[in-house]
Amino acid sequence: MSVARPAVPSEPRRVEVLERDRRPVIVAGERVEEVLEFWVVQSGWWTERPVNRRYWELVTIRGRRVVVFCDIETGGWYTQAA
Amino acid sequence: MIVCVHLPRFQLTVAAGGTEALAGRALAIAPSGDAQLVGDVSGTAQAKGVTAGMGLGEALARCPQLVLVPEDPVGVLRAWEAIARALEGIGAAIETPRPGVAYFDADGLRSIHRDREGVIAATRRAVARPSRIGVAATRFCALAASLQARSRRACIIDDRDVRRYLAAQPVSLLGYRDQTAPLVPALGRLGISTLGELAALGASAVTDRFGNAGTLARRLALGYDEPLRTRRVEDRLEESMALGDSNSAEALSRALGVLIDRLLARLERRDRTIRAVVLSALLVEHGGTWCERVVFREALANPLRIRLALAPKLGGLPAPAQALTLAVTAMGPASGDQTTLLDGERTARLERLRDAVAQVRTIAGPHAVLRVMAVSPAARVPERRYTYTPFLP
Repeated sequence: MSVARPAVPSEPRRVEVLERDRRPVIVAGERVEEVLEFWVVQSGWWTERPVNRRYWELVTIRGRRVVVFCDIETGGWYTQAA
Repeated sequence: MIVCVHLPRFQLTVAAGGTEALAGRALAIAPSGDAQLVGDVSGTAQAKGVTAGMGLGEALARCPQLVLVPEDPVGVLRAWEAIARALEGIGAAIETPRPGVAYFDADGLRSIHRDREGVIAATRRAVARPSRIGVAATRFCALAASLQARSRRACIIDDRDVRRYLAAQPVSLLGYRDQTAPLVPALGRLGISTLGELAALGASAVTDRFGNAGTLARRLALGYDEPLRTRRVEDRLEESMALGDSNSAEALSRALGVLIDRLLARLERRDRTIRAVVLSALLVEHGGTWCERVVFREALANPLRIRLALAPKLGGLPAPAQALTLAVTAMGPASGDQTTLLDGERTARLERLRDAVAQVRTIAGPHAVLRVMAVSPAARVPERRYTYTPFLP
């Protein structure tokens, strides 16, 4: 038995998001009830792996607080413990 | 017989990106640090009067077309380590005083590679790049021979000819040995240009004027040398970590702590202490590199003491770093740290905990017992704030 090297604690995980006007509407099958906060992170533009993301802190219809972001380079959606 | 493998301008070749990059171009390693002295120079630059160790102003005055190449110490170490491992792969126990020069005793290899020519052919295959090979009874004489050898033909000095051969060599050869290098300019000022002239001086006179370095230089000139100090073949332990956009002293120190924890948790270490490490970084600017070799005053296995010894070195980083790497270059005996005389209960409890953690790692691998460590809590990208690091009780 051998334990694989774990990812970092806040490693982004892929999530299914339905968006409308570039805003998340349904996250992992749960409708978005409220947007608490929105921010942009742009970093490492001087390196080969720049970070260019739009973050949303949301409350879903079940009352769950989630943080998701859209990777502007690839268009993919991720959830993250932020 | 000692074989010397010499790769001329090795640092420049690696920094410039290969031997082809040197062809027909006046290149030199850019000065680093306060002393504005150029490093290795290409053949074209040398033909225009530029030499390694020359002041930058004088070098540019002599050759206005001189192109300065930033040094790449990490690339040089990696490339040289690959060559050293390849030489060890043919059975050679090597001594490598600096990247680009390696010595080994060929006598023990004759049974593997048939004869001396077989050893030389195997050496060329292992190095796999243009190299000069000298063979002689001592490493100093083998080095002198390698400097005169052609790239396709080894220069072999017979045992009986060593003293005569060395007598005709310039005293600048002493510059290749750290202990005797400072003597070269002084000998030049005294009008002593060959090793034969140095050997002709009385032993007491040389010792009186130059001390131990003079005695060693005269012994080398007479064809005597110390035995090889070969390195031990060991697993290479290395850990790297990307730093992201945070380069504060605190973040660097935390990243260093993670690397030390990971190295100490590696099973290949087998409880041995660490005697020497190489701390290196990939810089943000133009993909340059920086590295610093640190030899501890005593072999260590305590993460806190290793961190205390290494953290001040990070102050020497010439530019922000993209990634930090820590590699072990020499191991010490197993578990050298002394425990405290008093507080035996606490020490015993810690010992039991260490045993338990080691047992779990043996069963489940090096990533089994971890703790979360804040690397850069203020980083804007969340995954760069915390990381897992091996738990060391």
